Amino acid sequence: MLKKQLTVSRKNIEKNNMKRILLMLLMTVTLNCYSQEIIEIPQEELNEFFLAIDTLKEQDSIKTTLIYDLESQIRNYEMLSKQDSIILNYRLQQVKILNEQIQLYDDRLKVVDKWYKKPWVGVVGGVVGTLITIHVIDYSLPR
Amino acid sequence: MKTIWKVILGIGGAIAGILAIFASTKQSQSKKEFSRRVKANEDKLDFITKSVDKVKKEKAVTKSNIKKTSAKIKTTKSKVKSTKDAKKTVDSFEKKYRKK
Repeated sequence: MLKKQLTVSRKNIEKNNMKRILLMLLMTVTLNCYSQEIIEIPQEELNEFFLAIDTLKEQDSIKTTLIYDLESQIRNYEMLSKQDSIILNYRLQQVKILNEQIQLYDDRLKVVDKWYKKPWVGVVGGVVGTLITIHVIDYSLPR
Repeated sequence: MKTIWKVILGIGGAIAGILAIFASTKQSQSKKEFSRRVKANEDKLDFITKSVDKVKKEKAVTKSNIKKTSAKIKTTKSKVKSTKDAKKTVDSFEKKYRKK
């Protein structure tokens, strides 16, 4: 009975040993396959690198703001140019209307400013007309 | 003889009167038309003046915006520094430690 137990125990130990050996073999293979190279970087270099990255990040942000501002300025200038064009168009229309107005006054003056429409012509005409009328109807003062 | 002159004068006077009425009517119409056209042009000019004033106000706002943005750009530009050294550092770091 004891002998039998000893045999079973030995077999178990052998089995366990085999398992361990197999495990170690597998681990060795795995480590060989997926090993990672570790590089040592001096702290100073790392600090410099991160400082450079920070500078680049900050400058990138500043330049993005600058681009946005410049784009905004371009839009402002476009708006100013548009407003100038509108004013210019209005001025051109104004000039056209004023010329039309001058033409209207000129035409009116041509109609109104005739020689026979002058006051002195009316006075002379009236006097002459009255004289002719008096002469024709043979009007005379009491004698 | 005198009677004939009187008749001629009477007819002439009547014709002149009729012509005067027609002329005055025509003149009045022409004056009305002139006044109407002048008024229309003045209205147009008034509208244009108002519009120009409005656009001028808007232009003043745009100019003020331009001034503000220029100041902002100046401030931002003063913050811009050369990134040459930083780029150099990153490049050398990359060359040194980046696995090819």
